[in-house]
Amino acid sequence: MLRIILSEFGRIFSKKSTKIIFLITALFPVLIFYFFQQRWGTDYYIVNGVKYSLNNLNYPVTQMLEYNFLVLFIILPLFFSESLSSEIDSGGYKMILLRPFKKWKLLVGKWIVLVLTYMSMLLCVFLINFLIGNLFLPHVEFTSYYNINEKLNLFDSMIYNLKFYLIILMVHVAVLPIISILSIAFKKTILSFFGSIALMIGGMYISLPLQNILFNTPDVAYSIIGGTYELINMLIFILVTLLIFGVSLWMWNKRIGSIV
Amino acid sequence: MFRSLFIYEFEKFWFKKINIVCLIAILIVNLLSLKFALQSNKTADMTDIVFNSSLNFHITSLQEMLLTAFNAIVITFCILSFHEEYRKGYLRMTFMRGISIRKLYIAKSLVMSLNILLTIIIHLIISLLIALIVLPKTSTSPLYFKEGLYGISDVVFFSIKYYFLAYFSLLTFGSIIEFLSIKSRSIAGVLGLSLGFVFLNFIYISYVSFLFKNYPVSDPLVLKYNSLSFVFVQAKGVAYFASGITDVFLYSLIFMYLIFKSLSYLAFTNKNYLE
Repeated sequence: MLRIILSEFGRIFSKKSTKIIFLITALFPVLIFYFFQQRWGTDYYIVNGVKYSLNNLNYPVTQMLEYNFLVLFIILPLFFSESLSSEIDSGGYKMILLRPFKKWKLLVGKWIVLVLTYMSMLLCVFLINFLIGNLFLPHVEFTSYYNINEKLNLFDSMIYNLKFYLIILMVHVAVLPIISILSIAFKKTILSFFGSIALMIGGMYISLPLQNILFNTPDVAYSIIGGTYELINMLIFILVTLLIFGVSLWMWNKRIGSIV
Repeated sequence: MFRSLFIYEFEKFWFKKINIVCLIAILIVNLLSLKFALQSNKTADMTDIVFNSSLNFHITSLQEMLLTAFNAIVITFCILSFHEEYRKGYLRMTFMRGISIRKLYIAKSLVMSLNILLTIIIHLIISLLIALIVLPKTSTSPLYFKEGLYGISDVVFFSIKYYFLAYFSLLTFGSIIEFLSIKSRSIAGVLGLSLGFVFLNFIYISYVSFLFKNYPVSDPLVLKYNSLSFVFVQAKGVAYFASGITDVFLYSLIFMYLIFKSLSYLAFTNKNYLE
């Protein structure tokens, strides 16, 4: 398994598109900072109607709305479909399948690598936001967050931030099984890309909780950590995601040999 | 010769299943718009612009989906028609028959324009039908950027202008994607560049709004600068044009269309491709 993962890592990082996507996600927080803080002078953020001042401790979690939209609806569908569909579509995946490994292991290896790569992108975003917060935002020793009564110090604030990013990661990873299913079903990169976006937008029209999870992900994360979110919605979301992971693994195992 | 080339391109377009999926998607897009319309109608008054009726649903649904679903359809059409054939080398087979590359580009462009027109017309027919069946029937309706309620003749005139500029904005966007499709080496590259272009447009709009923050939003100078962003044209410019406030959006689209179409033509007819 480790060899599969290392080989996937090698292939993913040899692609120019991965480097460009990495660069975009790293530059985006800088762009947001330039426009929102430098140009427009925004010094607060609002959660469910409650206004909070920006400072070095809370800055990393307060700049995620635009990032969430860009990543969930553009970057991740592009990144995942480039890795899954384009190899199948071009026929290059045939060479990988020739190796003496179980097919499902190849897909699981791919998933692990994609999730780890995206995790490192998200970590990069966190570190850049943390750096911006410490360099340019007012310094405080304690800060408050949505629906948390006590003031958090640097350590507790970092824990809060990491929990927040973990929730964002969990929501974003849900794009992966959708792309996997579409890649198997349609093979074409363009279809898996637009298909995943269409499914997410379609789902948002149909279900209000899904609309909140996908579109207002940061607000959902504040509410979950603050204890005001109806956790059943998130549990259903995670269960459905796991179910789609399972179905795509089953479909991949069954069909990949015949479609490449 | 050109006629057969045109028919050949047309047949090739319809042979691809993805193009048919795109046209079927229009029905789904309309149903999603309808769901949103029914939700808005619960809280909106009949004189509100967000109130959807049999008279204005074809306008509100296009307004909602022009920037998203229709642009996605145009990107798909362009990638399949230009990128796949040009970059994967399928066109080399065509040129074995001694066909003029210039004529082929013109035929492809005509087929593309015709199919985008067809997409818009299908949307119009489906939305009119859905509105007639499901939404409340009214004899007057409010229109974007116009005060008061308007009768059927005004709505028809508004719709013709609205659909015309919406169609032209899609053609312009198509010419940009054509250029990117020819120049980019991978589908992911075309998708990334296309969406990057859309994203840059949003940044440009934000920059213009910051630059002219002391001006009213419908000031001619602000509209002139915003007209250079096709995203703004699709989001608001089409309605400004249809309501008769300004024609600047039409001129800017013609300007962008000519530039990108010329660039695409030069890139497509580059002789190096045949070597």
